[in-house]
Amino acid sequence: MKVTVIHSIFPLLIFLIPVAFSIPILTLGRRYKVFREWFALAALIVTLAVTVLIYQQIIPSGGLKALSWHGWLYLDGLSLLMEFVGSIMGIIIVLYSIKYLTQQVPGGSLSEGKLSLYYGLLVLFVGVMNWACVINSLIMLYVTLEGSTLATVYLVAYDWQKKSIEAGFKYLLLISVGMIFSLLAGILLYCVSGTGPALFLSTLGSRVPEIPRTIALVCCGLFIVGFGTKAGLVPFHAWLPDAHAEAPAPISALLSGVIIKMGAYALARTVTVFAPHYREVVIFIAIIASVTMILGIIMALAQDDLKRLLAYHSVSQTGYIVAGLGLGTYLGLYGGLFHLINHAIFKGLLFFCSGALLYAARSRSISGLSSIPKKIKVTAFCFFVAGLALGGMPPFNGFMSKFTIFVALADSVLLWAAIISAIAAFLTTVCLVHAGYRIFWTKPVPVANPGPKEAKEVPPLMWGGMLFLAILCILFGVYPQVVYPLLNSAANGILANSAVP
Amino acid sequence: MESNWIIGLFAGEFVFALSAAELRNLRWATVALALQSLFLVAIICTFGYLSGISYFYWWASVAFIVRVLLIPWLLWKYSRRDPFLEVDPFLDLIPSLILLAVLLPMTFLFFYTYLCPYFFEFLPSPYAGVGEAAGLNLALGLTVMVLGIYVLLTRRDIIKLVIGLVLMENGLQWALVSPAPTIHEAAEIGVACNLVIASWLLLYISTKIYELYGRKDSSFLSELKW
Repeated sequence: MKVTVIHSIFPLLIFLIPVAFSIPILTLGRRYKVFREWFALAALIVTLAVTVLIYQQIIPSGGLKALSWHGWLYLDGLSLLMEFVGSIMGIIIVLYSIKYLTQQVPGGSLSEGKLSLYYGLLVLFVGVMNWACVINSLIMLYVTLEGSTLATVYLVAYDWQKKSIEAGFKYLLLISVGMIFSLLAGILLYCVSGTGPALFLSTLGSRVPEIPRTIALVCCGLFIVGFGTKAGLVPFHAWLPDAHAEAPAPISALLSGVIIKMGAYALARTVTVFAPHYREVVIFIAIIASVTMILGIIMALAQDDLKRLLAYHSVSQTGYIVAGLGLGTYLGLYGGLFHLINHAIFKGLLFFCSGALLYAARSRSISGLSSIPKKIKVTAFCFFVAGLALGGMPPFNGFMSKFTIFVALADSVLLWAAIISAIAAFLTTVCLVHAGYRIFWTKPVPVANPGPKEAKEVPPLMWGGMLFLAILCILFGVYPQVVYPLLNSAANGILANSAVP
Repeated sequence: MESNWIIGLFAGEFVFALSAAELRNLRWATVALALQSLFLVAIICTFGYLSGISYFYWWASVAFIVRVLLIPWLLWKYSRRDPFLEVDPFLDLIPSLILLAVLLPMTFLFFYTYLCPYFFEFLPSPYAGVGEAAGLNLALGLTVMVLGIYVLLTRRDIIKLVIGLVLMENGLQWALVSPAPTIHEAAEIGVACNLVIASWLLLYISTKIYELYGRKDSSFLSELKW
């Protein structure tokens, strides 16, 4: 497979637009309300519009066309997929946040300066993320990924309470330290593969055969440590449950739906390229992904805090994504990327549901929520749709992607990993249906609770986005062909750069 | 002559890295870190002189501004409110020094024996006159990186954790000197900016921790478990 590269300004625009929009939000947003949420929304809609324009250029070629800007920026099907995920989730998060956050302003707990910082950093993050997804230099990939972490630290520690400070501290320190290993791997690869101004990701695959075997394996290990920390792979996941649980619900959706996917994206750009050449890499990733799936779900089963439970599910689901991507085959890549999109949808939705419950019932503990009478049918519907999709139940989207990953694993003679992932999927369903049953269906027991006497449905601005994501869960499950062109292009984009022997 | 100069710089760099890690007085540790960074800048300049590649001077300028001036200034500023002595680490000075006396030579030998040979053949031709000193950069840099990891694992004071992070990064920069002389400027600036922002954010969080607990002790951060 050979990719046709065309010079274009789009790879530059896709990250400059949100970055440019974030500046007035961060500077003028304190004084003028118009420069906060609505400006952020406009920024993300414009970014999405540019993404759609890029879609029209890349997709008709089946992923065998890429846009480049002087070689330094490279936008192919995989970049496009990530940009769609970031822009769409960003728009829903902004819409959801409008009510979720402003509710706290009259009480004085949230200043307008904090709101402008929130929206400004959110848009800035989307810009940095888009930059990371189009950057072609291996070392700059580290820079932009780390930049995306730095842009979101404040959002994670947004409340500046004891727990959120701890979560923010761990998030920053652990990811920064972990990511240094990926920088080291980048430097080692740079050393042995040329002395030009940069080692381009788009040409990494063609250089793999020239790299000494030991160095290649060491670099793969370092990339797994570095980018695996960002993705939340076990045992580098320590930051993830704390950050997801303590951040505001929309930011938890961002963390789970988008930020950890950037680690998976970086693994797809680097380790996946080595996978077709080194069977050891495939097996190592399958082992680490299986451990991630199982440990994540075991930890989730032990939680009473709903957000923490969902955070451990994120750990577990990262295992599926990485298992698929690590195979380096078309089917594995297709399944892994499909699950990447699906996970952004249903996990984002679940975190929005947890936020809706927090908004309506002032509690995030499952036992606490079960004791409060509720009239929140939309939230309950969304929770069960997302929960069943996450568990891989038909006819939801999770079934399609997980089934593809099972088949891909079995096809790569890794039946044991397919069995482990099936067991983890079963446990996921049990865990979430049980949690949903306790929250929404058990008869409320009157106990002393500081929250409201009855939880009512959240405003339409909040449940609108949730319902949209729930519909996507069903649509992508019943009619998965909708996303085929995007996934096919992304998988072909990786394979074309892998130079499969 | 040139080799002696390089070995002298290497020794200075290493001694100050060790001092930054082990000095219990945070102010002195900050000064040691600044001096370690200064030696790093001197090493980069020396290799620029030897190789004749002007890019090295650009790189050294960025390293000087960020690593010698900016980060030590931030550390100095944020350690102002605390007692100058760091929060007791998990290991006392003597056991720590004994451990390092074993760990660091072993680490160096490991990298020098098993990793460096792969890279000697890829070293750029301008270093032909420098001989093995060029190859030593990689092994010594990675050893300083391991020292940084050691600091992160054995210290509780947040200022010291930031020093550990910077040591890791400085070690990586040192390792980069020989093998990647023509890496693009944007990458170096990007890495430096990330380090400054990460350090600043960690120090900012440390002030919040100080406000809550009265000390910059990371072991207080243990409310979130499982």
